[in-house]
Amino acid sequence: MTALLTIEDLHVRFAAPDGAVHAVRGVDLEVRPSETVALVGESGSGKSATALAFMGLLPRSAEVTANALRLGDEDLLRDGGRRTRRLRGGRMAMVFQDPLTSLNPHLTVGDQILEAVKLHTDLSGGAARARVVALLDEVGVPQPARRALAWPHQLSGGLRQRALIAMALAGDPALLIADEPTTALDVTVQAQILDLFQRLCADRGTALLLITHDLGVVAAAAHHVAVMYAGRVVERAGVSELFSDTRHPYTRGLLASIPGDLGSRDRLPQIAGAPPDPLDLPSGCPFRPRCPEEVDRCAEEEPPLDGPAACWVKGEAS
Amino acid sequence: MIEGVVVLSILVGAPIAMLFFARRVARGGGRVAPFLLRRTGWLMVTALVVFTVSFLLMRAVPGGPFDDGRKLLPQVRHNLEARFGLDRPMFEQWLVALRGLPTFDFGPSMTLRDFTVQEVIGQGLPASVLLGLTAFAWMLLIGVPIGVVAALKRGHPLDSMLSAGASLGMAIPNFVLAGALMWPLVIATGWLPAAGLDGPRALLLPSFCLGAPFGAQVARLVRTGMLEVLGQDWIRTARAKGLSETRVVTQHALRGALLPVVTFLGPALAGILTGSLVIEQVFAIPGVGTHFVQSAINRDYTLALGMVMLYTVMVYVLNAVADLLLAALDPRVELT
Amino acid sequence: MSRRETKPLNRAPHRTFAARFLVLVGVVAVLVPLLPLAAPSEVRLEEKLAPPSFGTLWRDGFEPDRIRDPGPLSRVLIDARIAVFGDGQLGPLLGTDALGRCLLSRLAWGARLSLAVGLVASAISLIIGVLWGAVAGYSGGRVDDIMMRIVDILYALPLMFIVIFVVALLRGFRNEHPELETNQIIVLFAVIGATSWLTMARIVRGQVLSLRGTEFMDAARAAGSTNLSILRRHVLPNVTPIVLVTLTLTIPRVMLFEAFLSFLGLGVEAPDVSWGVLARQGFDALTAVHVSAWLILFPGLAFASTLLAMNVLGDRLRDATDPRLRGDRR
Repeated sequence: MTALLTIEDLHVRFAAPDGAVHAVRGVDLEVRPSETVALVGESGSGKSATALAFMGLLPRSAEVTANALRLGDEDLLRDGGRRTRRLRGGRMAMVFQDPLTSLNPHLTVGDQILEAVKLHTDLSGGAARARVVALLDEVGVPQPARRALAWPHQLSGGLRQRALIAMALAGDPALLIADEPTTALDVTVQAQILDLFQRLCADRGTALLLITHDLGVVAAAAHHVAVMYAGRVVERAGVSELFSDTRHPYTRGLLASIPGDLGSRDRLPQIAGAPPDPLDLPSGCPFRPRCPEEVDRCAEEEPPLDGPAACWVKGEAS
Repeated sequence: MIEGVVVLSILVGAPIAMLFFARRVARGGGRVAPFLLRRTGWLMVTALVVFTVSFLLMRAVPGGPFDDGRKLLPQVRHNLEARFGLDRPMFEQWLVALRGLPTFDFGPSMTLRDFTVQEVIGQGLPASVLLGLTAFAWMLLIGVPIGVVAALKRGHPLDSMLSAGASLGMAIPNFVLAGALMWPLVIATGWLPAAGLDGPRALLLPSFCLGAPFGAQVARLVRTGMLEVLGQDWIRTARAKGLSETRVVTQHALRGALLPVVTFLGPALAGILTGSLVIEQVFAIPGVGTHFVQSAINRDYTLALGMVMLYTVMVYVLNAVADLLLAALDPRVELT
Repeated sequence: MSRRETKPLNRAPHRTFAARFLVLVGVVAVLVPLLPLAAPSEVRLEEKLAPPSFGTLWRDGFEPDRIRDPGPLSRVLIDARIAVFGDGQLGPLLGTDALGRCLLSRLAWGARLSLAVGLVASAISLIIGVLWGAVAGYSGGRVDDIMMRIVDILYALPLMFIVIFVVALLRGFRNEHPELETNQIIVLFAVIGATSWLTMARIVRGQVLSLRGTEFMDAARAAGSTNLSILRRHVLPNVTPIVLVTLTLTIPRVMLFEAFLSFLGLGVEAPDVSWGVLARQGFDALTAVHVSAWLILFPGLAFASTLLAMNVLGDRLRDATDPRLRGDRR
């Protein structure tokens, strides 16, 4: 089966006052139809920049290069982003982290969804408005007809996120990208929204690229996982392999910091040190300063992602 | 004349109200009627206060309308004062004038013989309203596009040029601007008429000179507003929806970026009215502005009172319209 | 990710060209009597409407008596000038007006009055506004409600028109009684200052209100500071930046208003001279058959450059004090 989303050797650079930040350094990624892939990493690891670059939503000052960016057969690198804009909101759609700031406060919720419906379907007038209500109903907004007339500030965070999901569904996308969709929400609401994503993707056959730093979310929702560190994918695996046969020491660190349900009162183990300064990456493997298993070679050369993990130690051992 | 004020408020208020409020009222979110009621109440209070203060101020300053240097015979003077009721007790004069307030019927002017206050206002107001509205249009026509372009081209030389131009526009008195434009356009070439208000060509220069300085301020507000709004998350959402850059700017960004402009509309309209006092004089436009200053200098009690009340009501009504507009554009604003 | 400003605003506001220019204008305005200029009201009808020229660079004939009641400082400066330059003076380098008066000299003396009007009126508005706002914000509760309600009511009044009305009434009175020496300029200062403090009061009150909740104010109170000392030692220093910004943006407004009143014949009166008066005279010279462009050009330039510098400086100060506009938002 051909991939729905294809990213090959993506680089993103931001101009900064004291030099360029190389935020994404050669990422390869694939998402197949109807599949849920989780992109995992700490903040600053380049996972959001990867998604935004694919959607063509990075600010103009960002420099994006890649060997390939494809949605199905459509080459997004050709004709200077015009194709990307045509597909955006239609075949591919995105949901953002903060529902409180992601809706335009000066337009009603319904009008904002209506815009997307009119742009990506042939519906107009009453039919389009009916579609808006149907979408709100589908994402589980109670009293959808009334809520369509509400202003964003009149809705709770969970309802606003549902409205944003409805907006993303307006063009019946084949690919949905969700950038930390539950991070800004209350814990109880988080689970509901996650359930909603799973149900929608199962019902509609939509592929989902789920960006998160929460491995609990990954375990619950994803088929495949790509772990990012310092602008690169460092490990890639099916979800069960990742949890049962973890290769990269960074991923192991992440896993160890998930609170277990064993009732242990010990402090959670954390990965020592802080993420590297993107302006001043260490030589060799960028994880080296925090790595418990460092060998000589790690300082000399950055390990490529040949097998499942970009690590000299585990890559060779397996 | 009261008709003038009514026409003005309907002219400006009604289309805006219809445009923006039909939907909000239909949705039950509108609190327009109580707002209008409250503002009308406050208008009456304000008008009464300004009326009384002006009345007392005029009487407090020594001298009267007939002390303009001519030596009048005591009998003539007495007759004149009797004719205008100036010989009656102060409170009675106040009451008589107050009765005329709702219709601006303050009686005959004391220095412009053969004209009543109503007639003076009735003849001058259309020209003044026309000048003010055109200047208002210039303000938006200049300010909004310049502000938007400057914001979209941030850091580009074009931005620096436009921003510098806007700062300069705020730094010149409007009659100096008028003089600077008059020389090439009127005196040297005769392209535009120098004075009067015959036809749209005559309106062009005066209204531009009156509106441009406020356009400069609008441009600065729009630029700042646009830059602020364009950095918001919901702009990214609009782009993610697949909207073209043009529609992102016009449908989403501009709406938020114009809010500071709408808050500025009240002061701007008051400023345009103030500025028109000068511009009407510069271009010899037969409006009410000239009478405002002259009647106060002449201590023309009736006309001066009429003028103060006219401008008070206009400023107040325009402020209320601006507040309505703000509430229409920003659902988070409560009408008070 | 943030959109970063490519050009960092790292220049300190007081080091900019605008600030230096303003200092220059200020120094000139203060030291005018010291400069070898003709007396601003020295009439030479034989030279009327002379265009700018360097034909006569220097000549004799300074008449110190032509400078109407100079203050003690001006007196000393004029004496110093006479000691240095004798009765020599610069020729009419920027041309002359309809009465043959030297435009250069009148511009320099006009700077004095225009800046003084701007500064004094702004200072009055500053004092009233800061006190009003600080007291309201600091007291809170009922006092705050009432004080800010008064500000709201005053805001709704067409104050500009009432000011013009009052000034015009007084002017009419003056015209009929020229023997009375009421100083119109003082009236101008007072009236403008007394009506432009509202914005200042609102801003200061907002700042004080936001400071009230912070910890160091509680700490100060817990340490036994009196209300007055808290106001003086903690509140005022914290509102200073925003007040400074408002002030830099108020002075140009007042100066424009002075020009406006001068145009209507309600502002500064002859023989005193301000930039507004000069601009008005330049405007009058334009409509005449004989176009004397320099008479409006130079006052216009003086106005535009000074006010532009103030606006630029005000913007810089605001950018420096308002972190929201610094462009490093994440």
